[in-house]
Amino acid sequence: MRVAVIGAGVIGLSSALCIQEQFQGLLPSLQLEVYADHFTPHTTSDGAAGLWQPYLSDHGNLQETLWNKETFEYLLRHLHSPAAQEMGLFLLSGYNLFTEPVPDPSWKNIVLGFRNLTPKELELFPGYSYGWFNTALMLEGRKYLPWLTNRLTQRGVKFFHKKVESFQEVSGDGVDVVLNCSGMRAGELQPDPQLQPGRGQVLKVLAPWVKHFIITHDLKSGIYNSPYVIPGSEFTVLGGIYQHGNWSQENSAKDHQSIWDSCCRLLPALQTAKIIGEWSGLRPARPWVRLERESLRLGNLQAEVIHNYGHGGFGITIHWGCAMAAARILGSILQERKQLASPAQPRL
Amino acid sequence: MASAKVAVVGAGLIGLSTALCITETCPSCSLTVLSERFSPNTTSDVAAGMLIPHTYPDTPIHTQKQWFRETFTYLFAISNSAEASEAGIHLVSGWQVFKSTPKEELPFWSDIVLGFRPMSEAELQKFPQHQFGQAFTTLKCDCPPYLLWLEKRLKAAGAQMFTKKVADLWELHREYDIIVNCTGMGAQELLGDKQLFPVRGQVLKVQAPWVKHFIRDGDGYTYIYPGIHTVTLGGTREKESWSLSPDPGTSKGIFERCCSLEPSLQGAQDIEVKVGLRPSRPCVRVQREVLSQGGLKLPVVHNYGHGAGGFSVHRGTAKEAACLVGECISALQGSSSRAKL
Repeated sequence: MRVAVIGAGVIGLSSALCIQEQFQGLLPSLQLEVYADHFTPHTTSDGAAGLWQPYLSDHGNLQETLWNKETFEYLLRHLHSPAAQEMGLFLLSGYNLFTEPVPDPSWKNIVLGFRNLTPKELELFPGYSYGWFNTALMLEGRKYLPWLTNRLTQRGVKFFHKKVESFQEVSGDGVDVVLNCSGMRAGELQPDPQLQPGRGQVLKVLAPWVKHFIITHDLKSGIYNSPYVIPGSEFTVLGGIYQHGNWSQENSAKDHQSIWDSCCRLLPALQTAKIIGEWSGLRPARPWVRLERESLRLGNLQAEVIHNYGHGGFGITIHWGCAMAAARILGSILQERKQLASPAQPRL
Repeated sequence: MASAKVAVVGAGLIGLSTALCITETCPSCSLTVLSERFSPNTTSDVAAGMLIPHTYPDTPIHTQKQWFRETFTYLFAISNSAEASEAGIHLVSGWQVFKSTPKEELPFWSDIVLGFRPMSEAELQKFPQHQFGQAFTTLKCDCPPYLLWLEKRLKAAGAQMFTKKVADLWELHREYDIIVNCTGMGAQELLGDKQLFPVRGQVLKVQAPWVKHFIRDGDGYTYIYPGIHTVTLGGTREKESWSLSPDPGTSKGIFERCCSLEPSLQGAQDIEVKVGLRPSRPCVRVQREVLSQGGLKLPVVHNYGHGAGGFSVHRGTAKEAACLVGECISALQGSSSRAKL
């Protein structure tokens, strides 16, 4: 049986790997195929800094909080494995800063060592009167995606470099299940007015003396519209742009200046950092993640589509929980078709 | 009398920071730094430069705390300024872990570093061989950058620096009014101080830019300190060993111990080995002395014997030494005005 995955960002590749790991043994005839027009390093996931951190509030999406937790715990288990460095996985501690007290986030017990900032620590950040310190994880897309690709290739998954224009294109011919991980452009496959771009722009700088992430929050201007600094293994990402509805992937000089000025004000030590690059990307924003099954009549065929898109600015944070959920949906499809003798048990 | 001519002997961390303090407290002094070695060839260049104090058995704790507080405050301000990267000063968070719970759970410096608290159970899971730990944020001074930054500030303040091996402090008495002795381990040969002894430290400096936290075993032997460009892996504490040659067996041991604390270090690249002799003493000698020889008098201010804790207290001892230099100057001015009577 063939499963076609549309999209080769973190969502597409991790869903493919999760399915491969869980079902290959149970279903030797399973053949996974990944279709995408952009592969690493040209996906949205490659541009993200890679910090595991959900938004401040889960807006009652408890399911998403659970997926975030599953992802963190999955990554934590891999921290001491020999693969960690190749995956781009490492611990990173840092600061979340506010101009007023805020309730603790849904993820306070998921990360390590969560606590409020002390007055002395707040002296570092004039203008901010409240904040958190915690240890989280970094998972750098530019390393993780190649690692996923290698694992998938080793397991016989086939990759196709093409822009998929319709579900019909990849279904049929024995492909009964399509995994729709098309991120920002899911609307081109099936209109979805709830999916909107959350445009971001970042500067990549050399500042290896910065060892902490610093994320500021302006509750009025919304998430990621306030400066942030995230040190990676090769360079440091400066950001603070979130423009809802803006489809442009061109770097804006105005945004560049705003990021640079606000980050240097936040962290004066950045003034001597060398800018080595810049990138704009579109966060595939949605009020909640679309992770569900849909039966579609495509021509004279019946196909099952598993949607897994709309992860906004927290794709890396939530990816494994969603991959497991997508695999569970596939499991129930296979069970219905009696292709599996018993309910698929997710292998942890 | 005309402005005092002060010679600082030694251009490691202690010599340079003391010289800088003297230019601050006594701007009219003429200051010269004389040293056999300058950065990157000093003992200070080998050290990681972490602000985690060493406890001196014979210095009062309140003094050590004051020295540490002054040093931390001074460097904290630099770390949060545009000079941070040039000076090599940055904040770093991490963990000190213990195989068994220490008698003293709250060291004297716990309220000076940032965010000090015991590690949670979840955090300790990362260290299966350790039962107890402390998490905090402190500062690191990377050398050579910090020493080079001190040299730059000294030059800007009008100080002169010369490479010269001083075999006897009396060599300097004709040209200088006051000698400041910051010779570290060199004080043994220079003064015959029997309380001073080397504690040999071997370290590895590696490329591992994904390591963003320090990890230190509370026993003091194994540590991982991420700097700006390299991570320092340590170490050894070999009392009375004078060898400056790297030992390959020791390097292997250090690497294995550090990998067991942080397995991802297996992927570290470009391993460089360094050796330094910690100029150790039961207490740091910050003291005034007047040497006499055949009717001649030579005021000396000592500032040496910082052992494993030089970086942690350097600014505090430098200020104290600068204060003592001030006292020497007053004494000289007093005696010269008495001479006029």
